[in-house]
Amino acid sequence: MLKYLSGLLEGKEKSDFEKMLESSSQARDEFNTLKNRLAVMKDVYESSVDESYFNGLLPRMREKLDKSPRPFFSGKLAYIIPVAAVILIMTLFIPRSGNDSRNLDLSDIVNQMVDGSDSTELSYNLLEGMEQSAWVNSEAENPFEVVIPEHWDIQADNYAATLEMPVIDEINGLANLPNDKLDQIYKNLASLK
Amino acid sequence: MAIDEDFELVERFVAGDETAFNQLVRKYQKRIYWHARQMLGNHLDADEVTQEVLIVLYNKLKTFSFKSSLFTWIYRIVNTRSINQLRKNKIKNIFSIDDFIGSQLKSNNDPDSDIDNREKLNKLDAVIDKLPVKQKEVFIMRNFDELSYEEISQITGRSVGGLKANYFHALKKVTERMNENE
Repeated sequence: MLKYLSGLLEGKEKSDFEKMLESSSQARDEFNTLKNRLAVMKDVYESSVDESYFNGLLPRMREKLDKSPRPFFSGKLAYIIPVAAVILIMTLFIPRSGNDSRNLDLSDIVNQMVDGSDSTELSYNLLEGMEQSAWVNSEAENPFEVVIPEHWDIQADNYAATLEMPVIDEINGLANLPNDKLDQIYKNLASLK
Repeated sequence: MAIDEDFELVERFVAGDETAFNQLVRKYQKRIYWHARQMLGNHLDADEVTQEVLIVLYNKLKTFSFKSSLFTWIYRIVNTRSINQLRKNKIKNIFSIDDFIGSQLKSNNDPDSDIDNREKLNKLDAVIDKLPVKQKEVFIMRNFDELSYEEISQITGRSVGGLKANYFHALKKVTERMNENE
């Protein structure tokens, strides 16, 4: 039944199912009950619409739009400058070496940031900026491996804040990561807590 | 025809007619809000995403080239922003000790005033919220927004076959949970 509703039945399987529905009143009742329950779900949402919320949406959006400052930088600078700022801030918190430390692998994010940008020049600038920063641990096998000392609890929050920066979203560093990579990042973050 | 109407409204807006944008917002705001609401499971996040999307529309509409329909483009933005918000919430939840309080505050700010409806909504949100993101988005777009698999494929960039399989798994879980709740 669920396969039929999902469009997964084709050809003979589909016509057999439809014949069965025609001939069996029990199957037909069951099918109609299922369809009705799904329709009721939709009705619950639609009956919850509060018109006053929607009437106020446009004025609130206009107000927000008027208050939002115009971007100081445009084009590539709008990406490069915030990323450079993030790198500089991270430089202040991350040591160049350390024995008692755990590793947080940022290579996927960095690669995505570089691959996700639509300009070769921008990719080059990002990569160059990162290579010059303390993000890169030259002693590690993976050049983008970040070393975080175990006793620095603040690191996890800082990293989370970095992930949330709009620039990361804009370059699709996070948005394009597959779920398994994201899960690994979440696990890394959780282990740092 | 809806597409011609959208085209005309966008043309007017690009030419400087602000009322055309207002018309577009009125036309799509409910679908934007409800998609975000169903994806995120609470009003506060949905409101934030809805406003974000409207501002993105305002700023980017001038660059829209009608390679796809306006409706598909808007859906893609809402869906992506909703998924991003879900991921941000997931990261926040790892570090947040007041997650429970936050979620209570969020659910209590629904725009609907009817208590019975709010309870029904909360139950539905709880059922949908447990679905994996890919199953959740196809379930919402198919069941609530009544989009075809082809339209969903254009929005999500995923194959129709994969979407059908995701919808099947979502349906299975939703019906099981509905049975458990009875």
